[in-house]
Amino acid sequence: MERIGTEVLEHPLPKYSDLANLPPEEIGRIVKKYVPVLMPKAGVDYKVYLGKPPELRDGERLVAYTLSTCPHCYALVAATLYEKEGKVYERKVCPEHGEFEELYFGDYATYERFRKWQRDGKGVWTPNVHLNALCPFNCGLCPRHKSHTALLNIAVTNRCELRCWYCFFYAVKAGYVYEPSLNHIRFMLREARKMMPYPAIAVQITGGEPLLRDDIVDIVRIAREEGYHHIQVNTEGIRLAFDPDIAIKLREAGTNVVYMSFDGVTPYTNPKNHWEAPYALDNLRRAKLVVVLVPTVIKGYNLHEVGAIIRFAVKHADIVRGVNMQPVSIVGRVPKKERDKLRVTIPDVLLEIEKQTDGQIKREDWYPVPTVVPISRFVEALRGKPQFELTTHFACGAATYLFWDDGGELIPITRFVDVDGVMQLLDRAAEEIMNGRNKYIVTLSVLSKLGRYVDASKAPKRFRSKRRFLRYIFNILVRHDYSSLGEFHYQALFLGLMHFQDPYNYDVSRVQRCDVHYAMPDGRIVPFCTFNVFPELYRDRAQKFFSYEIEEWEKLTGKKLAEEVYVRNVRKLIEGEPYKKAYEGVADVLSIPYEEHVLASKKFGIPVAE
Amino acid sequence: MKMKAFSFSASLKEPRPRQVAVETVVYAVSEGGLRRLEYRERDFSLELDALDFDAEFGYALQLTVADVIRGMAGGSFECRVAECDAEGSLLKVYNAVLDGRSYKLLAAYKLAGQELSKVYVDIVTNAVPWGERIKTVSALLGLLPHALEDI
Repeated sequence: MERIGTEVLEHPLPKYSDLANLPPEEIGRIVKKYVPVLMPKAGVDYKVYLGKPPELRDGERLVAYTLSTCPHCYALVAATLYEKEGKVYERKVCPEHGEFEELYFGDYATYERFRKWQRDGKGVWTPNVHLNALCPFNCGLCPRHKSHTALLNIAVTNRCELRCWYCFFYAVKAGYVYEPSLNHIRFMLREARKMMPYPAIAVQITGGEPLLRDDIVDIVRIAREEGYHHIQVNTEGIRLAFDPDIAIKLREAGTNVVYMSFDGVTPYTNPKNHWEAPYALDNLRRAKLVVVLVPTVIKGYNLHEVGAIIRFAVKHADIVRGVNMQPVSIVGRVPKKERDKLRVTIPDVLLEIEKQTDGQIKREDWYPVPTVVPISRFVEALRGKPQFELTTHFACGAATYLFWDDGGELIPITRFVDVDGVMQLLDRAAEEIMNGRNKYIVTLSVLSKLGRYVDASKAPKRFRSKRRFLRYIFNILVRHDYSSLGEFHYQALFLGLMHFQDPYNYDVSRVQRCDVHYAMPDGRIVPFCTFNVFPELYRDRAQKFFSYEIEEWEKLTGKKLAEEVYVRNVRKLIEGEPYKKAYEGVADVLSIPYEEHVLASKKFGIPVAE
Repeated sequence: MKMKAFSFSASLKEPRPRQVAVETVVYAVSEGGLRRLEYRERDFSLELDALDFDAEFGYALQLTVADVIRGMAGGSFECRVAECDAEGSLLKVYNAVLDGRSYKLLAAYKLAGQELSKVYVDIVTNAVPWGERIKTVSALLGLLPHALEDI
């Protein structure tokens, strides 16, 4: 990728190992000094061209203006969102690199339906940096950020045993090992817990491959000690497949859920862990540690399997708690024609799910993330203090809850709960309490009316007791009982979509509302879509700064980075009972010739033991 | 040293409708009291003022230049930029009407070396009682009791 005079940063610390074992407070005191050095530099890392947004052309209708960035040089530019033939596109012009046009949202009607649910957060009352630059070059979090951290990601390593062809992030390619010490991790976790008006309570431990760390269980324990209620570990599942003990240890240390990559139900669509996933699920089952499947959805690659992925999740619903699909983020310089072959947005996936489930899960069954804000506002009005809110941008994510009957019928929650009605009821109630009406009277009124919005006759059989369903709602709303939510989750499958941005469809309006953040080693907290969309300015710059040289890391650990390569024993995996059973009734994987399995793995970059 | 103050009205449509009107008044702190500063007004310029606008309202009102740009399709934004000379501590008062509700928000600045440094700012989403806020600001700026009563 072309860069405009990217600053070359010299390693400022004699060695990361000199910092690693200091107490957390001391690490914090030192690393924060480097924040000004690590911040993006205007005129060096990016330029600003705040001219007029591009004009509309024939057949186009204005939707909105916004700020975006040039995919080639990261210049901040004005952009136009417009509707054409029922879809929403973004167009922007960089004075140096020309015009870029990208699909922003695949269905205008869904865009408008989702937009009505937009609610903004209370901002971040304790920003981590001063406001010195325009968004997104001032992260973070800066004083203008609108949402508190809903999920904090903390990358604990950049090592990975896979060699996926498209990845340039892992240690061998990067040329350094980013592996913050336990004390450093504790410092980062503490920084996010200081956030006001609402501290981070949910953390995702990610990488690289976090399970490569021998002290991963200690990391989970530290997160629990630092007050995180919800801890999830993001993994490709290889170690889970072969080490039954690790799942048990993770659960015992406080892990709530594993987020496992799962891109499809065949070797062709999921060469990353198609063969290992069944074994990982079995080990998670034994450990009673639940899992969310995380497919990256790409047009022309696995979009045709989104329905099968959901069926696979339902088949394993005793252990699979959800499917969180991520429409592809296109990184690197990719020509328009190529991007069009890959690009898929939230409405495109919803449409495919509708088709592939024979209309059992319709587009209308999905709601954007901020839909649930009225629940938070109502609880806040009752309790008189700020609550956890999901105030991300409406175009960032969508979700629904799925139930099923014994006969295999899929029943989204919207079939028996009037979601619009419930949220409007709670919104009005919160407003009444804030305007001074007695909160107990309002609450009683809400509870008496809630039943009107639930049609138990349309619910799955095990939910036909309206009282049972209302009890969940009562516990969540009135008692604000986290275990109630957990209990609800155990009865349903969470279906989510989260479309992380990329340089082509970037929208500053979205990133200012982002609530999925990364803990940075220098104490900053950075939205997902600046951390990963501008890696040279955020992720890689900071991680390299606080990294080990490979030679030093190998000397310290006695390990050899180049030897950390997973070699797949396809024959052994496909002959095992867990594999044979896992896809039964979802995909006919047993009729695929051995040679094709091998080819799929090798093409992806994972060698096979012949 | 130059200080900017923005007064504007905005009717924004995207991503959610917002009606915002803000009148900013700047006071110099003088002998424990407040003296309203004289302005030179000009039109808002995105190139010149975007960052200052964000610094002013991104936190206090949760309103940014990106919000204004986003909401302009089918909406409106009229803004005047007042520039004044500051020689010492300052108080900015934002008289804001957001979606029909009125707010009076304060921002306090003090000299730190050659720079004016923001030492206090209200945020619209954290409704600390007025009495507490003026007590804090008075202490920070060295204002006499009652100096903030008539702003």
